[in-house]
Amino acid sequence: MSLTLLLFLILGVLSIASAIVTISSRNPVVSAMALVLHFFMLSGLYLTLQAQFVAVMQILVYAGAIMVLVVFVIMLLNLGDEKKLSEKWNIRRIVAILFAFVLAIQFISIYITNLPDAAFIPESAAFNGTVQAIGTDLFTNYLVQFEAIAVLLLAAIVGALLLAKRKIT
Amino acid sequence: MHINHLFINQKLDKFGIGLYRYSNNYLLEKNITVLESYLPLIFMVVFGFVVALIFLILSEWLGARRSTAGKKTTYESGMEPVGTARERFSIKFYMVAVSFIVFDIEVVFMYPWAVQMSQLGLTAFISMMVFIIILLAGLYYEIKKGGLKWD
Amino acid sequence: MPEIGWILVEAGVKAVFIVILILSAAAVSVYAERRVSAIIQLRLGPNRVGPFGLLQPIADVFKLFWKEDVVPKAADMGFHRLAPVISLGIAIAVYAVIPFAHYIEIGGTKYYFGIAPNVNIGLLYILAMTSVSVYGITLAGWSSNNKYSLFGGLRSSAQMISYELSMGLSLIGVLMITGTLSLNEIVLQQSGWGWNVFVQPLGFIIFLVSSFAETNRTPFDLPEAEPELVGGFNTEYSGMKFGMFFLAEYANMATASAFIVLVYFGGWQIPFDIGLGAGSIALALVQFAWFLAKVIFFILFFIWVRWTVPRFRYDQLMNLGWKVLLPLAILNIVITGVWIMIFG
Repeated sequence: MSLTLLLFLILGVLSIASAIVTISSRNPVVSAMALVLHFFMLSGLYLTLQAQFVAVMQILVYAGAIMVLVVFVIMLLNLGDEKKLSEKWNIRRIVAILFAFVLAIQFISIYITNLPDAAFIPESAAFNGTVQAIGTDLFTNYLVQFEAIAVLLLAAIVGALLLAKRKIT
Repeated sequence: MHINHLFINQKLDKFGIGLYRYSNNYLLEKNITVLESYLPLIFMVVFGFVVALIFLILSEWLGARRSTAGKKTTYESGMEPVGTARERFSIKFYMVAVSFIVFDIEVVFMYPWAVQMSQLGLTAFISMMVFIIILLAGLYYEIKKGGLKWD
Repeated sequence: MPEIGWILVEAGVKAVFIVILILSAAAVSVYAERRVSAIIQLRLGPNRVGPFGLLQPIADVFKLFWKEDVVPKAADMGFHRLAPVISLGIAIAVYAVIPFAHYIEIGGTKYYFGIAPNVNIGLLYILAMTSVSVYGITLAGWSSNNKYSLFGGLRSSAQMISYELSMGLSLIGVLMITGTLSLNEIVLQQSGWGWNVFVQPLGFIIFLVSSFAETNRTPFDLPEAEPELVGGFNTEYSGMKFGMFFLAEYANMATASAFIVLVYFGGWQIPFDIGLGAGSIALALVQFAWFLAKVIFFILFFIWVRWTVPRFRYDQLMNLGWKVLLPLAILNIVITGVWIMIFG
């Protein structure tokens, strides 16, 4: 068994387990911390694909920035009575389960036809995963998208201010 | 499992990316894959938490246990605790966290640019300056609106 | 998997050495802090345990281990335990990418001084782990179910994330010059006296100020502002659990010093030729000593500042981070960029 497969199995199982804790826990802080753990596992999975920059970004942006906001909001809202949040059976749930079923069939069909193997990772992956390769690509082929992100981030600041300020006054 | 690092070095020369060679040469010298070069790092993360856990277990195991009801009350300068600590707090903290996410993502986009900027040339430089100006406008707006005001 | 086994064995041996080094460095810094503060305040400081009180840190560790671990009834037990583990665990894990010297060559194989100092994203790894260490403090504040703890934890988290931005931005200037995120490569490029601090003075000052805030040291130790918040986020911690936060704080201080030395002050590079061959054990040890000397200088600098400069007010601290350091760091990037575009 190769190292890639071994790590894939360990990290895969742990990431699914932490994801299940995230959605099933009644305590929102437990959910948030399980999600942070999940991001760490995902980061490890990216490493098995030799995507080094994406792996570290997963921790820096998701675990280090976005989840901090989530934890702040959980504390801000002070969710005391979590039972109120538990949903009853409704149409949304049924649709979600249907889609989950379809997704499961897709996964199974992929796994039956091609078994995942370390040899699937192409040789150029070691090069494409580096910061330098991503920098070259982003600033030559994807310049327009890059500038669009600036506008998107500006909209995010304005939106956040609008929401926050309305509550203060 | 063997990755042809020499092949990658040739490819790097073609793209004019010389600087990545250092970490690639390390892989070549040790004849390991990228994942194997990260194995010690993953090990250290796990090891760090194991050491911290040992500290925790030792402290709970060695420490004296003479607990009384008084000791177990919440500390509030010797007074009876007033209300609960599960209070809602100021929205300003939330604003700081949101602004942090936005600017953190900005910084994240700057890393790949910074390491490659001498190769990328003027077009990339100008587009990064536009990116920075747009976000500085956001920062200016936020400061003027009082989004980061503390009193 | 014989090769993977050897990689793990090598990493394990290095990890044990590094953990011992971190813990002793933390103990020595605590001693140094108490002695230096005593000198500054015209006191004697610890002088009873061993010669010059040198064994004081060891006595402290034993005392902390045997102290009663008092946890308030209202606290969330699980997270109360988890918080110090996150703080200390991350403080140790950060050292995975720090190179202490270059390498030694035995039988044609190079053994590098550091767990993984050659990885492509070493510098970002340190930043990523620092950003995750916010949870240790936030959870400590929240789980204690104490008002002082909660506000200390919140203030601390808000402060850390604010200064993380200026920290990351100030490093961009260095990356533009070096063109790499690998710490060993950054050090290698600063051979001789070609230290990055000479080409990035503004970036260095921003980085230095931010690292004070990141490590929660005076003048940015608002989370532990005793007059208003008692002990801050660790008010409800006692025994070795408190000690773990304490250790993590000093380990982080050492990390920050090492980071400054690696990025701005040439790391382990010896600026003059001392006539030792590359790969020899003697050279590696001299490099290690040289690196350590610079790190100790910065640790002493951290301590000196703590006992000299008064604490900021919280609004001053946030204004400094968002309205001064952040625009200055961006200015630094623009200046460096224009410079490289014209002269590079």
